[in-house]
Amino acid sequence: MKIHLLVNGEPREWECEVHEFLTEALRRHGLVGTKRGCEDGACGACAVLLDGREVPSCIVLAAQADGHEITTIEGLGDPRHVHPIQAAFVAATAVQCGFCTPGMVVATKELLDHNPTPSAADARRRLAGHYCRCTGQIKPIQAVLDAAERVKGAQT
Amino acid sequence: MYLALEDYSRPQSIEACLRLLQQPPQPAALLAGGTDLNVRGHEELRRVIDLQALAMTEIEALEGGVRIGAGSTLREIQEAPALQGAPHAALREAAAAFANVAIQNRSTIGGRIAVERPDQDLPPALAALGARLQIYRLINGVVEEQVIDYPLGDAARAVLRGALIRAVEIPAGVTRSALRRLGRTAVDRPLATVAAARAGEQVRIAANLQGPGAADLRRLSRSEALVTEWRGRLPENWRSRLRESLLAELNPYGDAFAGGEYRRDLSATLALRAVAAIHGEEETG
Repeated sequence: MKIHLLVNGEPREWECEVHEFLTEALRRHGLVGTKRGCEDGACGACAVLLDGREVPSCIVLAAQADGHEITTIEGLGDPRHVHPIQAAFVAATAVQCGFCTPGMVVATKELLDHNPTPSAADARRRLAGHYCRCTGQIKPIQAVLDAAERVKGAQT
Repeated sequence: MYLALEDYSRPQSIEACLRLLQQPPQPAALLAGGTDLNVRGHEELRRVIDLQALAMTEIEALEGGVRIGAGSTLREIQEAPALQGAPHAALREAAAAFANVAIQNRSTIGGRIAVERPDQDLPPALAALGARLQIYRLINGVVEEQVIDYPLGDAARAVLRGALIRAVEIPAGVTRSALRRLGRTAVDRPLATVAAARAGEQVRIAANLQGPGAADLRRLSRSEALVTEWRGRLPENWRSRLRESLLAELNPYGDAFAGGEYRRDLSATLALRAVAAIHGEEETG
């Protein structure tokens, strides 16, 4: 089946299988920053923004995304144009293997879009569905708080 | 990956949706947020009927109560202006407790009611609030609307099979509600959940002991009657009297996560705290 969606600001027409989930569709089209993890919506590695809200793309059928706007990690920044949130994760050394990082960065984007001055508790709650097995959970929370400052600074 | 779907559709009306549900290939399922789609047991599922075009997402105050479209997400329920304040605290707390924020952005109240998973906080909140469901069914080719009490137990839930849940109605009159739960971590399934609500002098208490299916969701009618009898003024020894009543009517359901006696005692403690909360009392005991 054909689906039409806006991916990182670009209109796309993709051919998808009925049973294909959004994670697979994105990765099949080269957007491999979105990781395949638990396939159950529990680990956060596959997080993307769907119409501005963070969702686990592993539980969203590609067909369900037809007509919607998707933002992946590639839509936020790249090595030459690093997003302030990505810069904050690097600065806080909140990245080791990097597998879970795109999901955490996307989640932070949505958090800061709705709450530009989050508390540590807000950051913890937001990252509760994002599992990291090498960096741990402390540094990503510090990175979220630093990212809030950087995003605020970038806007002023 | 458990799915072997052959067909996806996105109907524009409730009638089209219900007709599609009965067409081959079968089995078919209604699809809301999809948080319980890719799970064991759905290997045979061949068709999904996506409800998103029906836009059942209103959350509005209505004659003192609140009407919540079945497509409203758990995140929207936490943020809706019509659900802020003491009467609907149990509902907000239940929505915030489910899984993680990304899942709350997808999971809908209608979907959560429709699935028969035991690991849920919403059912006791809805039962305590006296929620009613607006549902649609196709009977002899004709679409029929029904408004039913929130179904408690597996037998009562039979009415939901083949039906589309359109909205949840929270009636007027509740002045305070509270939900207390315990899970091992913030994102784990709860070991037990209890909700309490107060409408004037009447008190409702509902518990979910997380037994299999929906069988262990129940109103604790004897304990409700006891607290209601106190007419909003809790006597000095209310905690011991209520605990005795609660333990007498809670089933000891044990599994790999918690033993039966522990879970029963835990549920009684959670109920005491919820009852304290709706009476403005300190939550001890």
